[in-house]
Amino acid sequence: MKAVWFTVTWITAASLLTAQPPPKKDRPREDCGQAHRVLKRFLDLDGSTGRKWTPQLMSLITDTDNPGWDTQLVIERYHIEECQPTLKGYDITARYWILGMLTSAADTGLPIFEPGLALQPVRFEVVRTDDGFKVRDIGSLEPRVYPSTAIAELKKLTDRRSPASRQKAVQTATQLVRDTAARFQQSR
Amino acid sequence: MDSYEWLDTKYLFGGDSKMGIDCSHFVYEVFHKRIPTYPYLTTTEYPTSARFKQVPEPAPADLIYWAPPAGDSSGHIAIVIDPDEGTFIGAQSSTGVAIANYTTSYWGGHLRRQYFRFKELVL
Repeated sequence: MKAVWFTVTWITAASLLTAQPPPKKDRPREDCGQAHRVLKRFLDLDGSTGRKWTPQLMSLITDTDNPGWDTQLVIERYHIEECQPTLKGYDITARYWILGMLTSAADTGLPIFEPGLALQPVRFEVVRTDDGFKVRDIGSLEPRVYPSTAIAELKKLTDRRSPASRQKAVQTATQLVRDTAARFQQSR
Repeated sequence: MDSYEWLDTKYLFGGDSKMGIDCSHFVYEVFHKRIPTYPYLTTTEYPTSARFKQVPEPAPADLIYWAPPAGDSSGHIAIVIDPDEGTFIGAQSSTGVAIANYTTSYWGGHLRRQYFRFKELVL
């Protein structure tokens, strides 16, 4: 009897010691999916609004304040790559297809679009917070917007009272954004 | 100070009027009113402009500049009000034209800042 008890105890102890922790039901993959979705929502919002400071934006980022920008990159699209786990969440790279930069001309301050095709990787930190995943420290990163957003932003820069030089600059920049986007589409 | 006339003006990318203004146009509008030769520069042109010099400690009316991350071309520029208190006025997308403090965790934390002085400005 003693031998049987010893054997059972030994087997139980051994199985406890060698047992694997219960599987966490794909926890990392699930988390990565959530982090991806948060980043995608941020990038879509950035692309379609030029990063307006709204409750919707604030729910996706950790920043408590935000600078202003005098340049915006105009993009054709983006692609989100795989999650790289970090202590605080994930590093996720977004790859942008850049069409050019919307900025202002030195001296005149008038709006201009500078075409420049490029493929640009940007690494985002997506961190766990009490309110779920959020994109961290995006403040100093300039907005990356779709051509339609850039054109809408340009449209806000003039009205009928604006000087002719400003109206002409907006018109030229708008046309150049359109032409660059169209050329990129044709080349695909 | 002329910059206070702009308080509460909303932030508008590329804007240069009371209808909306961005950071570099705000700095330009404030100084150009008093100094007609003051140039318009986009934010990231300040560090390389021969008409501005970098100073280690700011004085009132110096410019405070936050550099963009590597590979980016934007950044942020504003005007120092009171270096003892750490206050500045600028056109921020989160607030429009407003007074803020560059010693707070946000403005003084992860963002790298420098100070520039217009060489033709007599303090």
